[in-house]
Formats: sequence, structure tokens, C-alpha cells
Amino acid sequence: MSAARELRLRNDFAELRRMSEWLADACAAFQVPQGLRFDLDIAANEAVTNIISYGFENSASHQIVLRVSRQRDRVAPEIDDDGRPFDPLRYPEPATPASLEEAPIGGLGVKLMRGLIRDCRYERRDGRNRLVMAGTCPMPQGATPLEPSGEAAPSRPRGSDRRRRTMTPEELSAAGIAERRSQRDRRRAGFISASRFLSGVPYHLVEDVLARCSVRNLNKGDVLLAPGQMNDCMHLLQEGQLRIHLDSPDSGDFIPVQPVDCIGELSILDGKPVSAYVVAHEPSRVLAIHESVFWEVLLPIPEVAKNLFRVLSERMRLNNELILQRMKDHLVLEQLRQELRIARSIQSSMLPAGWPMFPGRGDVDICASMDPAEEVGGDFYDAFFVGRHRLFLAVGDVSGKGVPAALFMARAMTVLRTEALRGRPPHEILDWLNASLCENNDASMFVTILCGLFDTRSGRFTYSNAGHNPPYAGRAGGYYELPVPRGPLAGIDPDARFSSAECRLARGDTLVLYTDGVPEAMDAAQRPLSEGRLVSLLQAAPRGSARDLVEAIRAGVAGHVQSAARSDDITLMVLRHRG
Amino acid sequence: MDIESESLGDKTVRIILTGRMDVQGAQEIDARFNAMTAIDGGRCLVDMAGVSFLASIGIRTLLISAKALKARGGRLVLVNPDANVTKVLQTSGVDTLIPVYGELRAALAAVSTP
Repeated sequence: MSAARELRLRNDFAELRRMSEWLADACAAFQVPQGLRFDLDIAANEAVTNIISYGFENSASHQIVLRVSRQRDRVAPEIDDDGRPFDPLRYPEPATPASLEEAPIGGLGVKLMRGLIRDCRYERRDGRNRLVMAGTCPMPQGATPLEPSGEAAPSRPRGSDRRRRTMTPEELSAAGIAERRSQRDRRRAGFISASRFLSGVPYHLVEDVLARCSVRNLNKGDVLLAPGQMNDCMHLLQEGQLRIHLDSPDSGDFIPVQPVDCIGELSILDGKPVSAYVVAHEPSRVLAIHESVFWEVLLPIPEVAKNLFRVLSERMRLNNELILQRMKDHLVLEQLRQELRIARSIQSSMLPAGWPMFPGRGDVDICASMDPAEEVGGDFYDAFFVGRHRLFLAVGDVSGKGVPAALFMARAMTVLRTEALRGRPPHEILDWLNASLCENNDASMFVTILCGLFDTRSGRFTYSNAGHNPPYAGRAGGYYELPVPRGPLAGIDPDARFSSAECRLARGDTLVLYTDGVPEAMDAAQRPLSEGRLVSLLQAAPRGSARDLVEAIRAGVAGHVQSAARSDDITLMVLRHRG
Repeated sequence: MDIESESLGDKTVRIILTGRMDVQGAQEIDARFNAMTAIDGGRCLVDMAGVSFLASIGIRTLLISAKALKARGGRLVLVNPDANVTKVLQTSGVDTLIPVYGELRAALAAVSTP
């Protein structure tokens, strides 16, 4: 029984459900038992989630192909994508943490996939990732009888016309091969029949040849061939293991040669000296086929020629894989870059969307932007309604860079959201945030935050501060800095307490929250933009929407920075009261 | 996914999850689940009987709340997951971090003892 189906998916999380439904249908059609269906569903979800999350550098539409095939008792979903090289099986399995407090939140997808589906394989070929996850299941009812699997040849009738038959193991054992009476005869015969080199070759054609071949026994460490040596035999390895070393006989880089492989064929073919060392890795036994026999008797047999080409292609492919492996090692740097991209995507995916943010509301106009630095910083902003007329706002900046900063930011935003939704006043939100961040903070990371609640009816803005830059309030007469209550950085001192202050915005007034990336944006000569210049930019901006003002400030900052590399995230949030 | 809660007395709540806890399912319940479990010193019994599928993204949702609740002096336990979901909890090792009980009464007894 053999069957296959294929599904094409876009790189969009909304496709996962469609995939699961399709997979359930395919598994039902292939009579896969329930338990395995579930495991394959989980594994496919995890694999495709990873591909969608990390596989593509741009947000363009990509195609992910899922194929499911069943052959005999093996069902094997295969996922194929054109994203950046990613081998999920390469990562070490994370250990299970000792306690809940120490448990990381992520990284379980690959663990699950590998835990549920033992037989996972990955390969990168032709610029595509291919992940195969195979499970075994009982043969379905009513299936056709199995063909014998493996190498055993189907039995054939023994007629009198030997000339038309291919070799059987029994015949080979009687073929006059050296030491044919030894106990190893049968195994050796098995080797010959399984040999890709002589498989399918009519028996009578090689009967005499094999009898004429000499057998060579090697001890561990014996060198069969060495570079420069002229070689007039092709060798078939019957038993043991040989290694082909390209540079020196004991180098760590080698190509293994297993029984049924042949070697030395290259030097016979091109008549040039041997190009590598061939060393016995364990006691081995080799059948030597002389050059003249090879050319005159063996090669004219079409099956032999075909097998030779196959052996050569496989050897070439193996070499390619070794080269590829070396290239992969060079990709470590690329992986570090990818980590930064992951951190970047964690960071940006947490931020609320909308430009401006609540376009449907007539009482408030709010717009925010975060322009990331080259390296990942930890700026964030958030805004959401906690009641019909109560808008929670926050702008913050996490210390440090990279994945740790992105994760710490995610922690901070989660606590802010949870506590704000519970209706706490701003200073209590910061009390809770600080207490929460102080726990499990071995890396001593911290965050500065300015957060507040804005009442869109009364214009009252109640705010609290954890070591952050004071916001600006703007009115027709100009912009001025709002006085901020004293408050330390959050995440350092578990006993810190915060307090709130408040102000009232009149209709048309503006509130500007930002991170230090704005006044500290450096030009090529390392001169910061400065607070004074920020105020001038604000005052000079035309009276338009919140979005117009955000764009004007960004343009002003970009004009200052010019082509200098951005060293910090630049975050702005503008609110205009229209109540 | 569906999410419902039922008070079982002082700071003790049974949260009943139903459906597929995959990317979409987790997104649907994340915020509400977070809010429902944010009880100082609370005890949350998460009834998993109706959860037919649990991917790592769903485990993430459970872990975030379990950690947050523990930090608040509370406890979160899982009740009555089906055989497939149990397999996922075991394979991921999450069953060693969040206690799992076969029935509500046993879970209630366990969280009620200090």
C-alpha cells in the first residue's frame, strides 16, 4: 500500500487550522490510528509554527508544502519550505527545569515534536528545508499482501535456463569465490547479492570473474591505498569498515566505506594515481577486481555500467553533503543574527498595532511609533482602554539588548496589561510591576516606564514614573515638561514605592511621551539631538493630527542622525485630547 | 476556544477550557485566562476535560499564568486532561511543573491544604 497527498499553505498562522483539518482527513484516509494522528498533528503544528515565526526574513507571502505519504506500515508527513536554513533537530533538548519559577516559557515546541515523533529527519536541499516526521502504524484491514521489505530478492523459479537468471545468494555461494567453504560464505554471498555494483547482473556473466578475484584481509590501521600510488584494482568491501581520508591517514575528516561499497574505481577509470588514503578502521575483507577484468568483462555488462554510475553519483552526493556540513558550521554567525531577528520580532509583535491607534474614537487621537536600532534594544509602548473613557498609556525602555531584553520587555508588558486591566491606579501598577520584575531577575535587568490613565471626558491625566523621561504637554502657547513624581527604575529594589501625579488637558492639548532614544539620537559626530531641540521640533511642527506630529518628530530626528547608525530604539507616543 | 469560570468559594476558581489549544485557540483565550487567574493567593483549577489538542503555544499560556499565580502566593493545577493532552504534558515535562489531577475533588483537596 502506498499513497500520498499534498497541501500548500501560506506563511500565515491562520492556515494552521486548515492544515490540521486536512491532516486529519489524510490520516483517516490512510487509516492512521488515533493516537498517532494526534502526535502527527502536534508535530506538524509545531514545525509549521516555527517556520512561520522564524523562517522568513521578509513578510512576503511564502509557500509551505505539506505532503503525507503512507507506504506499508509507515506514515510520513513531510514539510517543505523555502525559508532560511533551519534544522530544528540540531538544537539540544532543553532539560526540564526543577521548579516552576525556573521554567522558561518557550522552547517547548521542538521538544514536543521530537518527544512525540521519534523518527524525525531534516535535510536542506536545493535551497529548501525538508523535515520528515515518520510514524509506524499497523497495516490496515484489507491491504494487499506486503512485498518483502529490505534487500531480500523475491524468489524465482529455478529453471534449467541459467543464462537468463540473475544471481541468487545460493548460487553465488557456489560461484568459486575464494574460501567458499568457510562459515562466512553465506554472509558474503548476501553481500554480493546486495551489492549495488553487481546487483541484477546475469549470473553466468560474472561466474568466472568472481572466481578469479583475490581476497585481501586487512587488520585495523592497514592502509589499502595511499595517494600517489598507481592502482590497478577496484575493491569491493565485503566485511569490516574502511575510511577514506583526503589529507592524512589519521585525520578526523573521513568518508566511511561500509560493506557493499566499492573503492578504487576512480583511479581505474581515469588511470591516474590514487588521490586519497584508504585505511581499514577495523579488520576488513576486500575483494580485488583487476583493471583488465573490470574493463573487458564487467563494464560491457549494462547492469554493471548502470550500477557504477549509481555508485559514483552517490559518492559525489556524499562529498557534497560533507561540504555542506562545513558550510553549515560557518553559519553559526548567521544563527546569532537570526537570534537578534527573533528578539526583534518578539519585541515588535508585542506592540499594539494601528496608525493612528484608535481611529474610530472621536474623543482622543493617539499615535505611536518605535524605530528599532541596529541591535535590539528594549523600547516599548502600549495603549488600551480599561473602561469606556479610561485610556491606559505606557512608554518604557528595558536595559540591555538582544533576546534577554526582548523577553524582559515581554514580561514587563504582560504585568502592565494585567494590572491595568484590574483597574489599579498608575502608581499601584508600577508597585506590582516592580515587585514582579524583582523576582527571578538574576541578570539585574531593569526598565524605565512612564505610564498613566487618561480620562477622555474630563481630560484628567493621572500618571506615575519609574525612572523615565518626563513627558511634554503642549498647548497653543508651547510645550512644557510635566513635573514627574520621583520613582526609581523598576526591577531593582523590591521595596520601592511609586506615587502618582496628575494634570488636566484642555481640548486640543497634546501629550508627548518618548524614550531617551529621541533626545540622545546621535549624529555622525556623536552629538545628541538634546531635549531643547526636541522641544523646538515640537513647537515648529504644524498643528495637525497626532500622526502628523509623530511623523514630524521622526523626520526631525532622521534629519539629525542622517546616515549614522542608530544605537538605540527611538519611541514616541502622541496623544491629542479632542473630548 | 471557550473559557468559562465558576467560583468554588474563597479565592478558589474552576476555569473550564474547551476546544483546540493551538495558535488560534491560545490567542482566543490568552488575555481572559490571564485575567481570570490573576488572584492574589488564589487557587485555580483548570479543567482540561474539553481540551482536545494542546500545542506548545497553549502550554505557554498555562505556564505564564501558573508562574504569575505562584508569585502571588497562589496555585494553579490542571484537572482531568484526556489521554492525548496528558501525553503532551508528560512529553514536554510540564506535568512536573504544574500538578495534574485526574478529577476535580482530588485537585480541590490538594489545593486546599496549605
